[in-house]
Amino acid sequence: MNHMMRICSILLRVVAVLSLVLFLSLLPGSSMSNAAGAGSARLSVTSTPEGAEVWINGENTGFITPHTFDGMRPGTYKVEVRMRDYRPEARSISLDPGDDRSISFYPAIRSHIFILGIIPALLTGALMTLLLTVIAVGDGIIIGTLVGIGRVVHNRISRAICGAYVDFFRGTPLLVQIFMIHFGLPPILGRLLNRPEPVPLDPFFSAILALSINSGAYVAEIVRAGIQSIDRGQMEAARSLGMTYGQAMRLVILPQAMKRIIPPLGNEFIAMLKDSSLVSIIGMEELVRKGQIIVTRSYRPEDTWFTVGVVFLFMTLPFTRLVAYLERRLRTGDQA
Amino acid sequence: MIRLENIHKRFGHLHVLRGISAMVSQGEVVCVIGPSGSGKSTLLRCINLLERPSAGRIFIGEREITDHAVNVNEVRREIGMVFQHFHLFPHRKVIDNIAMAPIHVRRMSKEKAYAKAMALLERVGLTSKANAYPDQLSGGQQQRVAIARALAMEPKVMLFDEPTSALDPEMIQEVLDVMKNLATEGMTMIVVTHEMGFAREVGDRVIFMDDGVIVEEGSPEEIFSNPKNERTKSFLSKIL
Repeated sequence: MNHMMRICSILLRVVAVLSLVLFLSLLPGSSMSNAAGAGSARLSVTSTPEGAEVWINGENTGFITPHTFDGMRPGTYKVEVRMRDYRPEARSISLDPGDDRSISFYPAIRSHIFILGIIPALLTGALMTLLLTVIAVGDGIIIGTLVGIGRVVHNRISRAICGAYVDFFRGTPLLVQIFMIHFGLPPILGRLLNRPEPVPLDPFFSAILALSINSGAYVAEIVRAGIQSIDRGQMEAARSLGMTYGQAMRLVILPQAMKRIIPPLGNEFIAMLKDSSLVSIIGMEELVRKGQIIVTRSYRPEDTWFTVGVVFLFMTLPFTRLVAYLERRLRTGDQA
Repeated sequence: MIRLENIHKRFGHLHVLRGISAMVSQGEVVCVIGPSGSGKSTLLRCINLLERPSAGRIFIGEREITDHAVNVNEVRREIGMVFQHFHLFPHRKVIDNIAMAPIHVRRMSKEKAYAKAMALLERVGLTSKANAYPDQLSGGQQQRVAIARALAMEPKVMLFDEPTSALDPEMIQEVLDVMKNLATEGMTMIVVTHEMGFAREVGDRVIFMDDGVIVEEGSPEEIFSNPKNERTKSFLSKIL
């Protein structure tokens, strides 16, 4: 009997201790459960960047990343981080008793904040695009006027050379022309200058050269068409007064042709503004190249490329309008 | 003053002038008539070398202008030309149209050139239009300006290429009047025209051309009243 009593007493104690342990384990955050460990779990939440609010199951915990939650009851939680200017990010995690898990978030910056952030870099690129275009079309006007006139004079050699120039640079892709100059010229220059190595070209120089001679070919066609649109009688009348061919051109034909040349020249400027993006391929940091750099760093192609597109649009739109305005004005002012 | 020796002009296989020989004396007014396509205009354009003859020689005074060593610009200064379609310079005012060639070709001072231009405008009765643009003028007015523009170079000869053909009928007379005055003042003139009244009244001599040759020439009286050639008769019967 005494023996039985002892066993009962031990059993009671064990039950009491066990129930106490069980009871204490149910109290959240108790140090006891921590020590016990076996029934609860641990979860650390981190985010890059740090400082995001941690929400669990749709409620703000009041904690900021990085933070470790001890004594989590096993189960499935929806963990979410929220941060100003960042998109909220949520994931589910299942905790088993005794787990020690960590969950990391990489919240993405919101689009408008991201775009505001890349605009300075894009504007620097846009400035370079504008600079390239202005120089290229400026050179193109000089080249194109000479070549355009070279195509209407009587001299056959001049006509043949200028015609070949126009055909070549209008008939081959601008991209190929850029490659020919930037990669094709250095070995030729090396041989001409008797150097063992190719003579590398500065990308800016190559870009300006390629865009200028390309633009020159298109402007030459514009100039030629402008000159040829002037009634032949104008030239004859000027020559019949004793003017030289040059005087007739300068005083009679070109001033009239100019009016017809200006609107298509505006279109050439717009086209060059867009086509100059091809020099990004030889590393010129214009608008498109800036876009590429940003995409590589940020993995945000969607925001970046749409923004690049809009920046281009903002550059071309004023010129498109200007050309339309000039066309209207010059049409009404055109004399028979 | 002007001597044409056996002028030929070919455009490819087209033989437009087939041996034209003619003389025009100082102060003479010669009217060239004939059906369209007979080569009248081409002949006129050969005289100031807007077209170069394929063969033959042209003399102005004692100088052979068809010689390749001759400066064509120098030759053309001495020969004024008036076109069917005026060809005024639309981007310049009337007064500038007239003063341009004296300033740039003759190197005349601007003041002198503009004073001269005004005098010429007075001569053609258009001083009020000095600062107008050509397209603000009627056809007749434009052609009178074109005559003044040619006269500004003080040419020795004036060539008129159907000067009234593009004009509305009511404007023809004002242009013919200017030309008549010019003839009275003693200008040597070659006029390609369909205005038979003008040819009869003002012309010293009439040349009838057909198919690239001079078929008949003589005084207006002879040609209009007593044409000898059958082709002349048939042409005149159609237009008179």
